[in-house]
Order: sequence, then C-alpha cells, then structure tokens
Amino acid sequence: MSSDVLLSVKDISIFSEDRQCNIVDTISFDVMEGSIHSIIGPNGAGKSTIGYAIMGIYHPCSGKIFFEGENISDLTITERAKRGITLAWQTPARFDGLSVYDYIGVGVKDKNLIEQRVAEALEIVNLNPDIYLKRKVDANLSGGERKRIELASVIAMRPKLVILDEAEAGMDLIVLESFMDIFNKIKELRMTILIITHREDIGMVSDNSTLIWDGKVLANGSFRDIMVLYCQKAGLKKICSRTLFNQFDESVDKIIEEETRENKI
Amino acid sequence: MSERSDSSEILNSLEKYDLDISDYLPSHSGPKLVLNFNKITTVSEVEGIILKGREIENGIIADIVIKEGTVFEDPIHLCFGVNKETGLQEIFPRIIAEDNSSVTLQAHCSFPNAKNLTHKMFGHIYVGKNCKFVYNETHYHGEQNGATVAPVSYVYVGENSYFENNFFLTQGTIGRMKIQIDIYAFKDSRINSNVKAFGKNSLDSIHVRDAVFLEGENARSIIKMKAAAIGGGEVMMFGITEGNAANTTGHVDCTEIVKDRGSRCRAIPLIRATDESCHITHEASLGKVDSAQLNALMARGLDEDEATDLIIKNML
Amino acid sequence: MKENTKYNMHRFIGKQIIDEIQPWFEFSTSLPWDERSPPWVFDNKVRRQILVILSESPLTFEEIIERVLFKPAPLIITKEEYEPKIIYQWDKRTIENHLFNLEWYGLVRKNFDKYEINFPIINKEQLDDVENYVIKFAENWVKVIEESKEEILNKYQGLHKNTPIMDIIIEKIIEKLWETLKKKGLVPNEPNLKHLWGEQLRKTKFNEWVLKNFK
Repeated sequence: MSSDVLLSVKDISIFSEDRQCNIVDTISFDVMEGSIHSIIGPNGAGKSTIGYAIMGIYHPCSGKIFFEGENISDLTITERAKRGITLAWQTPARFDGLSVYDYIGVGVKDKNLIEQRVAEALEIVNLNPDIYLKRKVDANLSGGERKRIELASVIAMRPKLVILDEAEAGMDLIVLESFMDIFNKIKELRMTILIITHREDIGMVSDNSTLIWDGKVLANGSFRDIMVLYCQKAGLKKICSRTLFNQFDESVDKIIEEETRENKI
Repeated sequence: MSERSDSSEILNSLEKYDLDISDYLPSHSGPKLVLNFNKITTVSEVEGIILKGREIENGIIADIVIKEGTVFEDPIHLCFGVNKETGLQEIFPRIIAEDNSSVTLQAHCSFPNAKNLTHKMFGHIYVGKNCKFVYNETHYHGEQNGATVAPVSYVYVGENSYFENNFFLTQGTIGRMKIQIDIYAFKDSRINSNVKAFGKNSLDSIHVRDAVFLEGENARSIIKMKAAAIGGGEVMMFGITEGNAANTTGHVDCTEIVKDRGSRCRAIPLIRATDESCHITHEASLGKVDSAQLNALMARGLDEDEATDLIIKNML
Repeated sequence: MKENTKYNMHRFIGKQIIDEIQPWFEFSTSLPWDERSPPWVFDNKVRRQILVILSESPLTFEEIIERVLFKPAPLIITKEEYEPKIIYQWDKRTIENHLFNLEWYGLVRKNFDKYEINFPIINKEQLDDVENYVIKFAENWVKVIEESKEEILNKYQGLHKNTPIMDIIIEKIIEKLWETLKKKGLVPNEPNLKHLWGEQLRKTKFNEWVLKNFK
C-alpha cells in the first residue's frame, strides 16, 4: 500500500428523490492507493449510495470527489470508467443474448488481450472458461454464477479502483472462503479495492475502514477499531461471533473495558 | 443478365447475414426450392419430401409435403428472391408435414436491389401429430428502404407436436413490412415463436402480428417479439395469445428499444382466455434501454451509444 | 369527495352521488352494451368457421363437432400424386368455449337443442343484387360531388394544402345520411344493429344519469 491518496471523498451529501431527507450527509474519507478500504455499516446506512456516487450514477448535491488529485465530481460514468474506476454491482444486470466472453471483455482496452484476460479472470473467480465462455449473461445463470462473472469483468478490466458493492451477496460458502484469494489476486494486479459490505468477515481483509451510520461517517480508521465502535453502537455483545473465521472472538465489553483503561475511548 | 447470375446475386446477398451460400448452391445435397422472381431455378427433392412449384404471372404456388415418418437432419431450403429493383412478387406456399415427421425449413427472402418492390406471401403450414417442425425465415431487403413486404401465414400444429418459428429481419433496411402469423395449437402441442426486427431509419416501418390460439388441452406457447427502432424507424408489435381449451398455458413477451428522435415503437400484448383453467400471461417493455444494463456497460468504459448498440445487437 | 384544486372551477356544480354506477357498463347483466362491434371474436378462424357452418343451417352441438374438423390438401399436388393424411379435430370443451363466446356476443343463439346464427345472412345472389343498388347510389353521389367539387375546393383553398377536404365531406355525408334516414324511418336492416343500438342507448342513459345526478 502506498502513501498516496487515490480517492478522496470530501463532504458529499445526497438527497433523496423527494428531497425530504439526506441519504448521506457530509461524507468524507480517503482511500490509499494499493489498499483495500471497506465501507461498513448496517442496512440502509447509505453505503451503496456512496459507491454509486463515486461511480457517477448518483450526483451529490454538495461536496467533491477527487481521483488521483483530479476533481471528478462533474464527470460522467464513462469518463470515470476511462480514468480507471469501475464498480461490481450488488445485483448485476442480465443481458439478452450477450455472451459471458463479450461481457467480461467489454472493459478490456487492448483488444488483443481480451481472450487472455477473460480466461484469466474466469479462473480467478473459479469458473471454468471452457464451460462459461460460450454461455449468455441471461436468466439461465444462477445468482452466484452471475456475481462471479461480475467480479471477473472488473478483474479483466484492470482498473485502478474497483468498487465492490456487497460482492459477497448471493455467494455460497465455498466461494466465500475463496474470497480472500480473490481479494489478494486483485491486489497483486495492483488494483485498489473499495469494499462495501455489512459483513464483518468480508470487511476484515481491509487495511482501512469507514463506518457509516444513518448516512453519516461515524469513524474512519482501522477495521478493528471500526468494528468495536460498530458493535458498541449496535449493542452487540460479541464481534464476529458468527463468522467463518473466528478471528475476532472477543467480547465487546472486554475490548471496551481494556480500551477505556488505556484511555483510547 | 442471365438467370444463373440473377440467382447468384440473390444468393450472394445471403452473405449479408453471415450464411455460407455454398449451402444453397445446386451442389448441396439437401432438398431445396430456389426462386428468382417468378422463375423456379432449382427444385431438388429427396426421399420423403415432395416439392412441387407452379410459376404464375408474378410468382409461384408451391406445395411441400413431408411424408409421414420422415426425419430430416438437413434443413429444407426455400429461397425466394427478387433481383429486380421494382415489381411485384406473390408466393403461395402450402406446407404439409405429416404425422411423426421432423424437419427444419430455412426460408430466405432476399431483395438486394429493391427500390420499389412488393413481395406478398400467403402461406399455410399444416403440422401433423408427434412432429417437430422448425421454420426459420430470414429476410434481407437491401439498403435502400425500397421493399414493401407482406407475408401472411396460417399454421396448424397437431397433437403432441412442437412448432418453432423464427423470423429475423435485422440486417439491411426494412422498408415497409407487415407480417401476420396465426398459429392454432392442438392438444399437448408446444409453440415457440420468435420475431426480431430492426428499423434503422425513418423510412423503415414494421408491423408484426403474431397470434397463437391454444385450441387443445394442455397446449403451451411462448411468443417473444424483440425489436429496435432507431434513426426515426417505426416498429409495432401485436402479440396475441388466446386460450380456448383446458389447462393451456401461454406467454407473450414484447421487448422494444427506441433510440433517436422520431423513432417510434408500440407493443400490444393481447391475451384472452375463454376457459377457466387457462393461464395466459404477458410482459412488455418499451423505450430506452434498461438503465441497469446501460450503467453496467458504461461503468466498464463504453459510452451510452456504444452500450446501446451492443445491447441492441445482442438482443436481436 | 373533497377537492381544493384548480379544476374546481370547471366541474359540474351539484350533488354527485359517487356510489351510483356510471352507465357505460350494465353490471346487472354483465354486458358491455356500449361496446362497439366485437372484433376480437372474429379473430379466431375456428369461431368464424362455426359461424360459416351455422349459416348453412342450425346444428346441434354434436353436429357442429363433426362438421368443424378439416383435412388440409395441397394446392397443386393432385390426389393421384399424393394424398396427405392429416385430420384436425377440435375437442368438445374447446368448441363449447367458442360457442359460449359467440352466444355471449349475441352472434349465435340456442333454439332448443340447436345452435343458430343470430344475425341476417345475405347469400351470394342477394349480395350481387344489392351491389346493383350500391353502384346506383354511388354513381349518383359521384355526379353530385363532381358538380360541386370545384366550388368546394375554391372555397376552402385557404386551408392547408394537404387537408383532405373531400374525404372529410364524404364522411360527413355518411353521418348525415344515417341521421336523415332514421328520421324518415327508412333505416334498412343494418348488420351493425347491435352497435348502433348500444351507441344510442349509451347516449340516452348518459343524459339521464347526468340529469339525475347533477341538478
């Protein structure tokens, strides 16, 4: 992870369509180049909204977004994609007649590399290219397959910043286990990852995190610190008590007690 | 221009939709009927299939009979083309597939030079019991919007048979086209009807009526109509399904994309039931490309036009 | 119903009984009596075929079943060359559904155990004879129109050049013709009697409803 800020979100606010309330309010955080950054929060906190705003699908009514030092707030989705930002959708669209090969290859700039990149990407997400290349990105794919193809399409594109919007949703347990490998491979390809998730076991791969609560940033910091605060806020007794990995099997009360003793909270 | 070179030009136009024309040349062993305007240039029968044509002033009358029990792997080719710029061509085909037969009919209507050319077709297809009948019709109307084309087909599908209809007009211009296909489905039969059309400029207009009447118990059908109207083109689609027998199931799906100022599309899915145990459904979506699809492709670096073109191309 | 909109100015001022069924659907009989001719009924060849065979003579249900079957034949292949052996037969329930539909639209009625056509049939000879009158009427119209056309076109030349003024006039002639014939009691046995009756009844009922509910 370098010390350069790749993405900087400064005080963005987004109103609801009827302008009755803020979906997100003065959100600010930085994403370091080469890092994995997670946006954590409960359902409805505004996490996906932030991701869509960075991609250019939603337009903030105030605030700015900087990418590689450039103010991209007024750029279109396509312009942001060409600068190296892309998004893997929580519920990926299905396309009538479009092959997996064509969909994954659409983001590859060098047309001579399409075949190679598509095959590599499918292997990274554990899909057999011989089987999947000819299939269509339509209703005949299961939800899990569609999600994996979505991940493959961002991998093949080799963007500078990948926004993964609840990438784990719809995935089976076997694939979830291999998520760590997928994230590591994406990092090896020198992409910066912004994970949007409400699952702590996914977020724990991140170097830094932002906790969103009721549309506001509650804290920016390390994932562990964020999780303590999250659990405290949510009234949870244990962090990650139901995770697959069992790495954070600590009592929140105990952490808070310790940290209070150390005057950290 | 000789008859043979007339036919060659029509056959060459088939390359516009990525077909290997050697499939249609006389050396190909499958059964075929090749027509240039009102001249039958090739008739080639095989065992189990009777092909008979009679030339009339502006076209032909043709009988095609597939005898009982005939199972044919190679498609039967019907090539109805007109090399001229103007004129009227009328085709009256009657196709009878007897019980227990299995066949694919590949029909091509090619008018590569049409400037003011009219093509009318009034045909009947009778499919017996326990058959599999696939009817593929591809059209190419040249690049000058000069064709007026009106095919009308009545199809009867016997008990326990499968009928598939694929009508494609996605290459070149359309001109003016009005298609009607009415299918009557008997007991336990299955119907799969697909229509794809692409109106590319303000001189293109296509009206399609695709109707399935479910007349026998347990008959099932699906009608899928997909179209795109760009550059001022017009598309209108009627998808009709009527359930008149017990336990019939039918679905009509119309999807149309409209792009550019002046383009118009209309879809009217009409579903009717006269039996209490029918289950007939419809869905239709018109207008611009689905924004979720557009956003997904734009997030990979395509601009809106490129994304729309890709979606339309793959949909059709 | 409380309304505080700008449309208040344009509404009827009066007492509106909103529970009253508006008279364009007769709920008591479940008949859409104001519906124009029922085109979708004729969309189906089987129903058309039933009407055609009933037009020859009234038939019982079983007789209809027997008559509705058909055997397709080629156009130019002769019987000696080849005779296909396909027969299409509709089942009883399907024909019953079609007959229910035709009865509901008043196109067919049941007379004891036989079904019969419920509208006048003109046979070919009568149609040819009627054609003579049609030609006579049309030729007279054409004569009058020819005499007046120049005068009309000159009078209305200020209109947009593409205005089909003669088309509009001819349509209005037909409307006026019906109106005048009705007044004189000369209206013939029009085949679309049901539609016209429905149209008239709808207008009468609507007027009555307005008078009743908007004092």
